[in-house]
Amino acid sequence: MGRKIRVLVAKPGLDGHDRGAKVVAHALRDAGMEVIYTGLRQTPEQIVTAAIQEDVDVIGLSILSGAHMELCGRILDLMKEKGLNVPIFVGGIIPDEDVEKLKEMGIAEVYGPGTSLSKIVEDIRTAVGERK
Amino acid sequence: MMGVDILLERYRNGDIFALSRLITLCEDGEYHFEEPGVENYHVIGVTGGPGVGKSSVIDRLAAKFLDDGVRVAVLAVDPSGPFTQGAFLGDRVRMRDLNTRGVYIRSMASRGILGGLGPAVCDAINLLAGFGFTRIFVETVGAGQADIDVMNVADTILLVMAPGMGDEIQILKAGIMEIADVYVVNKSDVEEASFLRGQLEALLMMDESGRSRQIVNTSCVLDRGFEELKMVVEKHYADMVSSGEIAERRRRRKRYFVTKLVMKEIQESLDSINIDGLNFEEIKKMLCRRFLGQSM
Repeated sequence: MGRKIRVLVAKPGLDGHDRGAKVVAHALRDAGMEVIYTGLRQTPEQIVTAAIQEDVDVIGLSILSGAHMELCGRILDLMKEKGLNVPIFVGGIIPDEDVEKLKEMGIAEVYGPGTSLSKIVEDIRTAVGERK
Repeated sequence: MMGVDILLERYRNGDIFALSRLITLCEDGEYHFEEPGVENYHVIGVTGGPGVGKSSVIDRLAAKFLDDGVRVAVLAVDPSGPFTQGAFLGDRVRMRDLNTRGVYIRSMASRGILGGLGPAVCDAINLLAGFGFTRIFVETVGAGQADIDVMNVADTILLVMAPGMGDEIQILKAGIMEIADVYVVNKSDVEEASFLRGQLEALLMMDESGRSRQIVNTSCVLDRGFEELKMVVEKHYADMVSSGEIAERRRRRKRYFVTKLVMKEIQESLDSINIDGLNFEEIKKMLCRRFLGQSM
């Protein structure tokens, strides 16, 4: 049967635009992954709890609200506190000057508008492959 | 990858990471968890067509159980795709508040298994019961008329229905309509729900099996009917315990579990077959050519 890649796709914070998250979730599904979609307005606590319960290999976050530094920081803190160690990929509207900061904090990759879906699929496969 | 022995020890010490990883191993067919080691737990199967409100009903009903202080877990199955075997598991969307209240929710893909469940549902039920969860919901994929496997794993079966899905001819059909212990008329805030209720009442009047079956109206948008639903579900369990039927339902699950494992072994031995250098696929093609004169 073999090991499936499981991905949590979540939207933390208060913005209500989930088209991007759904497009990415759909692409990952079509790439043969099992995507657990949590929907809108998740708290960092809900996201980390869901990731632990679902035993995911990767977390994908979609953030368009501008609160990415706070939300990612809180999620990374909670993951450390609970001992969860999986790569996080962030997509959305992230200013260039914050991209490096997010990566320094521990975010694996940041994707802006126009990113090709196949790049996201490949990056996830590579990240998961390195861990297994 | 951590060894199973270490995982099991951590699982027995109440480590949620170990529980989650063990479920993954069972899903991947690398491990099987055959006995929960406890008796006092209630498996509530929730089935019904796509979009009738199964996840939302679980969300509201689980909240009532939580109010009573019991530990609740949810296994929610959604379909895997036929082309890439990927899955979009979206049941958590309807259960947003449960995980902040300590409910363990696990989404599972059906991974090509027909019947409405996934490959590791029985293992996962056993793991969750052994972990201390006493109300375990099993949500099937959006079920069709013949997706009845949930009857083999659940102690109590809720068939969730919504108005507008067909006339009483649909209700008279064999299959999924027969397996319910409780018919949940969801979306009962919609006017047509009273017709559905009437059709179900007529159905039960015709039933001469002697089984006790109930109809409960619910509305998730109005959060109505769930106290009644909880009482009906609890009573069904209590009645099964006092009549001894619970033992039969548990045997049924064990039988289903063992049958699935045996079928899997057979499939795997077929897949690894080698006769005169031909594997199973090549043998099938050869037979098609020989007997049908065509390639497959």
